[in-house]
Amino acid sequence: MNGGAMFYGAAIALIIGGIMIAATKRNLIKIIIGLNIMETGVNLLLITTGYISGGTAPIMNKTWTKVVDPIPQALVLTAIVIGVAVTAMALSIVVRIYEKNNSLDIRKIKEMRW
Amino acid sequence: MIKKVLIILLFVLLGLSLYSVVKYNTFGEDKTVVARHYIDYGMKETGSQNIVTAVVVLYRGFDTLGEVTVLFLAATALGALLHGLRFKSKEKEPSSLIVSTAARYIFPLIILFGTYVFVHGHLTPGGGFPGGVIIASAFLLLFLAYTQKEVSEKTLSLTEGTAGILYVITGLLGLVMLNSFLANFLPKGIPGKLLSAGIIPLIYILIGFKVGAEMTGVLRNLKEEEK
Amino acid sequence: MVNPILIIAISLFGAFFIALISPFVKRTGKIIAFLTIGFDLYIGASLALKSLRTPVIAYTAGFKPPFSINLVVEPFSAVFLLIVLTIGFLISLYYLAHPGEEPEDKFFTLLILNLMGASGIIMTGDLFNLFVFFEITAISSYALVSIRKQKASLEGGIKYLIISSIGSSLFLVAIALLYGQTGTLNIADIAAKLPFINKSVALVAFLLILVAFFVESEIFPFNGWAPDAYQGAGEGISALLAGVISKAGLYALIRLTFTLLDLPLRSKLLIVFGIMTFLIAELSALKQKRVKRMLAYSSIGQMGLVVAIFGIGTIPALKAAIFQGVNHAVSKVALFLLVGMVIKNLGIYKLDDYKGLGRKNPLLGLLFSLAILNLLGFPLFAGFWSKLSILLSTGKQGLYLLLSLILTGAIVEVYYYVRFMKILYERNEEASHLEIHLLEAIPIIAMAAFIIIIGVNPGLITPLFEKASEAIFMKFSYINLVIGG
Repeated sequence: MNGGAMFYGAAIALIIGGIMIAATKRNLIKIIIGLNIMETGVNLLLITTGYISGGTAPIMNKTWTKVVDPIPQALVLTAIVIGVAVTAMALSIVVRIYEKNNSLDIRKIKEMRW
Repeated sequence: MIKKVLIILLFVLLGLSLYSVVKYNTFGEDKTVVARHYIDYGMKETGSQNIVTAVVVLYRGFDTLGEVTVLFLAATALGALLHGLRFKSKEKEPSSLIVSTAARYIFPLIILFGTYVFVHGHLTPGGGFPGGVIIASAFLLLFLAYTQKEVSEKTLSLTEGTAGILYVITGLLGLVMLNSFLANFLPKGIPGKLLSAGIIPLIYILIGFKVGAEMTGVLRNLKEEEK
Repeated sequence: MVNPILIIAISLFGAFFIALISPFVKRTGKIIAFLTIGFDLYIGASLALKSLRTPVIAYTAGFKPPFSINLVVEPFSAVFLLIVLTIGFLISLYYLAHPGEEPEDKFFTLLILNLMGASGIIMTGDLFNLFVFFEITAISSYALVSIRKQKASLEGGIKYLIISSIGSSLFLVAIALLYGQTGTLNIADIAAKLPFINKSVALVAFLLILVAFFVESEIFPFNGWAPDAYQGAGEGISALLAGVISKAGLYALIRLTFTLLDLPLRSKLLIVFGIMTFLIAELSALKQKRVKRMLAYSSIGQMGLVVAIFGIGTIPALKAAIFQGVNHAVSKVALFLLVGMVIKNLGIYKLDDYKGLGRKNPLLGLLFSLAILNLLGFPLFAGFWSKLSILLSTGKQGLYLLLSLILTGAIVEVYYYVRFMKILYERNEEASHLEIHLLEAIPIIAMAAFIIIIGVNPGLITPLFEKASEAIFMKFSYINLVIGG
């Protein structure tokens, strides 16, 4: 087992846990929380992929010796912003659903069939 | 109950199989040609001390344009979806004197800090996105402290529209002058100085304004309408 | 020099411009969207023409791939780019005479960005950039589907959002796996390094990508969102889903499974899931009482058929699949726009309410029948040639079980569409007359003309499909194109 076991394991646990929450919960807000947990897991996975032992942040001031891979950091920045956008979208739809049905439970929203 | 256990088992199994593959990816090892190139030549090629910024704004600048678009999209979609929404208005208590007084003093400081973060994106960690979000958080404080406070939609629209158009124009200037979209057509300067790295600070300032305006718009829309 | 970047830049310019002026001058979105998308189509068409001779590559930021993001237009992407932009342009033309959803300016901003995202998916040569454009398309689609704010549209929108964001996260996991193995994000670069990727990592990444794009191209069992989204969305948006969004998803599915991760498993999986989707969706369409939902299931079924044929993977099969994809886009968009015109005028949704409409309104009836007959593959229509080449290419590979399943699905399809046509032409004195605005009818008439012209002389367009299928079949020419020279 290499040193990444903890990080990779945590990332996978977050991803799978998030999907499980999104798939089994009935409350729309909880589903969205599940999606967010999943996104966090994916981001952790990406960042872990780019880690280099002993590396510091890739800022080239006078003291640097070894830095981590900058690409996953740039990717995660993008992924976080996209995650925020999706969450905002989801919440606005949920606000509307609540306005129409007075409920957040997907079982009570009549036309919802999964 | 049995169903629940089965579902959990299924997911655990999925996770284990995913993990068994992920562990083939090395951890902590120096690798990858592309990243090596960015680390070794990034500062020389772009003039930016912060390599992540160089990757975000130049090497993968096209992604960032898309990212800005995603945020713009979310702000637009939120405005469209919550358009005309009226909940039964609840009388909101005005916030306490302490909060409103403190907010008045902290607000300009937060704005200043946000500006600092996005102006120094090519030198220190941070950049347009965090800077913009910090500015939006100042407005969130304003909304919380002064419940009646409104930011006009016109100002926000104008800011995000102008910043967006200028971003695209900066990209197109690169296309015209160096035959490549988003290419760095300004002098690179000396890495480490505030005025260096060509178009990177310029783009990060535009992104800062745009993200600030968009996130404020999102907050403004999500804030319960009371009329 | 036409540059593929221009499509993205002009679309963004248009979208930001609407945001800039909408607080001051209301209701300009429609015109700006029309002009922007028209310009996109012009650039796209000239790119496509050029790419048939020499593929077009554009670098960004002044660095060569794999260090920066590149856009590639070669024949296969050119065909999809043409489909997406043409359909998008016709839809924006249709909206000139048709009220957009409220608030209008925001609606058209979303429309422009949706098309931009779809063309970005098709042109990009970078895996993560594809993810970004995929999200742009997806987020604008969630908004466009639910913007009507009725119960059904909100329900369709949230279902689409939940399923699709799980799919896109899985895609991101696949990107992380591949990046960890190869250290690059360029599609051609990863494809060239495929032999060095750990076998099981490649397999899992392949499966994750398959799931992610099965969601977008409406393949069973990941298409739970599709019927509700189609039903809840405005008719123009249903057309957009059928002609643009699902096609962009299909492009990504094919590009990533043929070029990026070219695994032998692909063929079986695409055929099995595709044909399953085809049969289940056609059977579900049979029992629908609402026209839009019936069309939605039919659309899902067609996507399944196209994916299954792509799965066969020989050049004639690829050609047949592309041809069928084009026909489906044209017919289904025409049908959804026609339904939109009926709904706008009469406000009817049920199949039975269409009784006698075709008899009373000859033009409407004619256009409906043209689109349906084309979809069914009636001789002398474009659809005939694509269905014929599907059957031939399947038969040639000796896949007789697949052939018989396709025929079964096709018979079901004929049954419910003929039933629909019978209803349209039934005698009914009470059928109402409806006014057709000329501008609204132009896009549909244009599509009808396409159907007939290609039906009479398929040779006009088949060389294009020939080139496209060769381009996707030979992945090494793509790799050489991007990182070789």
